[in-house]
Amino acid sequence: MNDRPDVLSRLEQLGRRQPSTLTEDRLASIELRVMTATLQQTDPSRSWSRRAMPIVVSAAAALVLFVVVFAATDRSNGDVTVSSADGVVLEFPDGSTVDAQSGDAVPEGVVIRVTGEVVVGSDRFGPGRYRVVAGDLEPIVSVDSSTSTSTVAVTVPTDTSSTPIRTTTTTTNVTTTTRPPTTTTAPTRIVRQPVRTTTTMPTSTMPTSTMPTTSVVDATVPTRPTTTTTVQARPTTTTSTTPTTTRRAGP
Amino acid sequence: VSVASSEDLDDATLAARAVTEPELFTVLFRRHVADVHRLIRRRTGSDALADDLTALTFERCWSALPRFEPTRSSLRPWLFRIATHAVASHYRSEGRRQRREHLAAAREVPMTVNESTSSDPPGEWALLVALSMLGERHQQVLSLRFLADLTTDEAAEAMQVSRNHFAVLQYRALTALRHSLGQLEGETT
Repeated sequence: MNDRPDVLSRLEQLGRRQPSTLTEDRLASIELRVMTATLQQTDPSRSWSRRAMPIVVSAAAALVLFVVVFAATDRSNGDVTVSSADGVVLEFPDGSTVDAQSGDAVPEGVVIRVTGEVVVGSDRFGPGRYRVVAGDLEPIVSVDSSTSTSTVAVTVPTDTSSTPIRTTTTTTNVTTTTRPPTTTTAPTRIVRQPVRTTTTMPTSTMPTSTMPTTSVVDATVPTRPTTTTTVQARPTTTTSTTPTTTRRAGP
Repeated sequence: VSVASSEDLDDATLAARAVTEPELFTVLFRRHVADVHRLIRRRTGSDALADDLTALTFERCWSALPRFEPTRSSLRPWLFRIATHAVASHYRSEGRRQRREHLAAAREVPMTVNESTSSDPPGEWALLVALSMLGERHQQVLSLRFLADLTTDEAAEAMQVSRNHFAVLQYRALTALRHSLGQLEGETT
């Protein structure tokens, strides 16, 4: 037989024992803690923020999700739409060319070659110049056909959401010798693009809001002496270039 | 309504009005804090832990006050149930080794003994450890019945069970405690 008292009597004995009395300072400390917690729970602004927090978090998550989905969708639609296709030829990366129609989407890497004068966005440029477009592209809004030739090279970034907008600045001084065309009845529609030396500037050096969507290259575009639309030969150009990187619009 | 003028109000009235008048909760606190602290102190054997768990008990009481139904239970047994739940939760969150160390440290500071009881009953430390190792419901039953100065009816009311049901729970809890205590004292001897 166990000589220890039974569990029941030990419990009763424990229940009869009086712990040390709660002193005033400890009582005040407990009361302070309780009342502080009580006030915090009844604070309307606190309860509002507590209720609003899930809403704010959900909204932020939805916004992030929207941006991600939109960017993914926008990537497939990152083409330039041709608004006016008078005298515009599209040259695809594989070398094929096609006459642009109004409303055509210009995919990434396509070179747009324009006869005469063209307005891209708010900039008008025409004979004797070509333009390198990088980053956010605006559609061609008008084409003024003439006998001179201009080239618009379009580079569409593959991922406009993750890749910062790049400003491509041509630092090449191109000296061209243009041969007069042998015929004047048909303007040259395709012009070989001169060697371009581009320098990609970091995005951080320029605020995005002020970044131009296009950058103008002051260069004389050589014209072809023939009327062939698929001329592959380079024009007779003498180019003094100090390139740092050579950038070609590609897919 | 000033706090002084509300001293005469009963618990149910105070509890109902304290939901919208937080200052009246002070009256409830001062009315019951000593009893709650005594119960927790008996369970834990530690003044500091008893202070912490007493504060936690009243914080939970305040949060649950809108759900308090005076028709189902008086405030005092309801409060004791919150207290025993706080103690059981505390021990559940501790590991067994930590629990023993804590109670062993508490053993170094003996309680004040009533004149009618003998000094330092044998095996009090083992009893507290064994009690803390029971399931929460068994802990609550034994604490409410033997350590909270509640009658069987009041303890049953606190547990929101019938008197007979409470008797069954108490029997099972005592059996479990006896088993746990036997194991514990078998280990220590």
